Amino acid sequence: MNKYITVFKTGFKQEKDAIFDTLMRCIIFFVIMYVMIQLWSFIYGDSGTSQIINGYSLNSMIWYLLIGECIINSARTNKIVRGISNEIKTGGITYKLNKPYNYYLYTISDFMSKSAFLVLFTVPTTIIIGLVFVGVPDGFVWYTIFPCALAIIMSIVISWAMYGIVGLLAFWIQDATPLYWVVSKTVMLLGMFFPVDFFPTWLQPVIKYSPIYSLMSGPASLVAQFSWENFGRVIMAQSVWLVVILCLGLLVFKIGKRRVASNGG
Amino acid sequence: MNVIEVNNLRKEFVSKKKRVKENGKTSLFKKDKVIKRAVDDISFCVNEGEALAFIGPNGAGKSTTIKMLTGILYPTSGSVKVMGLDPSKDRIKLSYQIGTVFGQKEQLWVHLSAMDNFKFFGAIYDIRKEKLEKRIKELADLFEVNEFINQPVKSLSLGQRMKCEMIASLIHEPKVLFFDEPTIGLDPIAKETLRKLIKKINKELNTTIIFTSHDVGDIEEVCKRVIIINDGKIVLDDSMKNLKYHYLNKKIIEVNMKNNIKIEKTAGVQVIKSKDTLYKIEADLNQTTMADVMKLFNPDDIQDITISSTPLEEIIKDIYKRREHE
Amino acid sequence: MVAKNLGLIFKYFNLNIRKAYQYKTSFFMSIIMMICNNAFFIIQWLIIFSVTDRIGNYGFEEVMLLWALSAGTYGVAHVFFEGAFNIGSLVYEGKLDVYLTQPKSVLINLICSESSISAIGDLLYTFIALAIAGAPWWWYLAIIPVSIVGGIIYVAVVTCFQTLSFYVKRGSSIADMINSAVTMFGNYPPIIFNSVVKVILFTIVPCGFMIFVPAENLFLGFNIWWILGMIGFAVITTILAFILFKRGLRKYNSGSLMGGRL
Repeated sequence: MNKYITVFKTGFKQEKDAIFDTLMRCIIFFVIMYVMIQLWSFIYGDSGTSQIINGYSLNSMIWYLLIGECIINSARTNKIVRGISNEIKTGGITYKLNKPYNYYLYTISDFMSKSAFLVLFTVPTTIIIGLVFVGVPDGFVWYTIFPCALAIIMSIVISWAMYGIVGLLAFWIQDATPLYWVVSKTVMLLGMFFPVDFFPTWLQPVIKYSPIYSLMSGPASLVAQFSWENFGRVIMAQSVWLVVILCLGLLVFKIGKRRVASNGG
Repeated sequence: MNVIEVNNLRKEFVSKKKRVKENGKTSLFKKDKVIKRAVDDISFCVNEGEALAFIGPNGAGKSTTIKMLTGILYPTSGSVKVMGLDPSKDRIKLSYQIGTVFGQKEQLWVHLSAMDNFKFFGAIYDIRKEKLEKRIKELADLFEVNEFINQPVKSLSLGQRMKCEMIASLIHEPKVLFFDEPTIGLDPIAKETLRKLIKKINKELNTTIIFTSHDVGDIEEVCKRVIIINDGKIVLDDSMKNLKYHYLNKKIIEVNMKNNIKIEKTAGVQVIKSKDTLYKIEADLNQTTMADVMKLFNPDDIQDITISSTPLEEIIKDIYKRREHE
Repeated sequence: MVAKNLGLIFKYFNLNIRKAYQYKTSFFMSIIMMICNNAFFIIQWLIIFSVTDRIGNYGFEEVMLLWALSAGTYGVAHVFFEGAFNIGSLVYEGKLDVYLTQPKSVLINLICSESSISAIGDLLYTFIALAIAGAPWWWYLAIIPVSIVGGIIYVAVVTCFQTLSFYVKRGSSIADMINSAVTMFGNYPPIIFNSVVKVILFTIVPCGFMIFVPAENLFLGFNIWWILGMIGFAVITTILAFILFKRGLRKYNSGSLMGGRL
């Protein structure tokens, strides 16, 4: 047993900086959510608990926002974009190309392990803020935790896979950050800030059939207003998009890889 | 006139270290204060126009001393007077009179041209435009940088950059110029350029020079006076000539021969080690010449040879030893 | 003294712009991106105001005024005093040496020496936001001095917290947090916050004096005492920043300490 404690301690020490960083981010997470909760409480007014806006009560609105924020903080996608594009630009990628694995899939799983670490912080933060400010989600039953968790994990995997592609675009464009920025802002605006039902009717189907639904709106609305029917829809969309994005990523990598060779490595 | 006067100067750094418990484990929370005396009670004076070298191994306290002289660090105790000013109190007044060049801490803006840089430093030191232009021209001629003065600094070679770095620190006509490890990380050619420049500044601009290094070779030709510092204390304060005579004229020669030979006894030559065909000898060049030493070996039989100066650590040990004898 | 320091500020600004302008594409790109970044949030507010008419006495135009003010103060702080946000890392890496050997106030020299190029986008967005808000002409003029005073408050408070890094290794992370909190709180109508939060907003996260006071007491209403209060707060925090920095400087060890700081 002692052995494992030592291993954990060493690992912990190594991650000390990362832990401090993550704790700071959790505090910022709290600040952001606090402002949002104040804002929406005000909008919902004194009759807050009973009022419904576009099908959302104050409780489900807050949980919707919390889950979106939780996903963003668990998959810090700017890191994968920067990581991949740096490796492409500096040529460090050449050392990884001849290894017996696929670079794209390897990088995604590497970043998944970072998420596993981050989740230890973000999930408790999310739950504590939610419980303190608005209580358990409407219609919560203990066993709904499992389908909800599955949807959230799926969305984190899709995040890495999708932003991994953005990073791979550095094979062609000098700087992938502007592109990353546009994509992430769009996801934030159309997925995180509001549930789908808040948008104009013409825009709603666009969001529902785009990856944004699998990344954000889907899992967030699932926690906010759980139903098995909704769960089926979310998982369905996520599975399809995961396959599509992974295939696309592998394709982009396959084509992009040739550019390394032609540049002479 | 004394440009610099240092009396009983001390600097202590306090750091915290995790406490080690009685059972040998490190405590998680309790910390102990660790006091490190970087500079421990040193005193010296420097005259106008002098070129003084401050040498010592890494961590001996030379940089800390220089930084207290230039007003970067506050002394723990003792007094410092540079040009009659206390650096920790009259930092701004003093900064008009001194210049600094720190190895590896470049002050130039690499994306801008050298000219733009000089103008910027001129503005920092509140120099009037006409005066500044005249000064830049003077220095540019002296250091021969006119050719590349309008190129961005990042496109210059290391030697060219160094020239610009020096001009930037001379723009306000400082009376004293401090160099803190300027040769660190430089290749031999760049080092040579730098030494020549410093000599030039000392001779032609009559600027007092204070120079730190952990390499004795650096200062042999530049400075007339040497202070050796170790563990925050002054070990030796002497002229370069004396130091050279007593300590720097010893060379270590390591030779690998094809077959065993017998080394004849010669004055000034001492065999330190001989194992198989490997020989390590020390030659005192006050008593013999390199040419004579070389005669001990048949050139056709030499497989490999290295000649090196006595390392600084050895010299310091030597100085301590001599003191004990006296 | 003032004129000399102003000269220094513009000298640095000039050099920083010229340095960044060598890479024209990324220069303009970062400015435009910042403008777009701010503009993105217009959609957020349009949707919020589609589900509610007003938030207290704040409608869409008033929220745009808040955006103009926060972009203005943020812009002034980061374009002219970007160095203030990096004091912590400079202290930690022992990079104050150069400033300490120059004949200028170390603090002023240091905070002016860097410029954020993207923050120029914020300065421009100030006027774009005013235009979207349909502002009367005098708002365009009044917002300039207001942003400067607000920017000084912002920089002074951040500097105060950054001086912690003279004493503790991670001292600057608190300043970083204050920084993110400022950008977060400043863009929302103050009416949504309770009194405890308001106390914070008028002290350590100074959005209150930077943004809410001028919004409600100069542009939307008028109360000279609050305006004077804002200026007073700027003076006090600036003096405090200088005192704290000077004290901290005594602890500065120029990175020459072996092993003590790992």
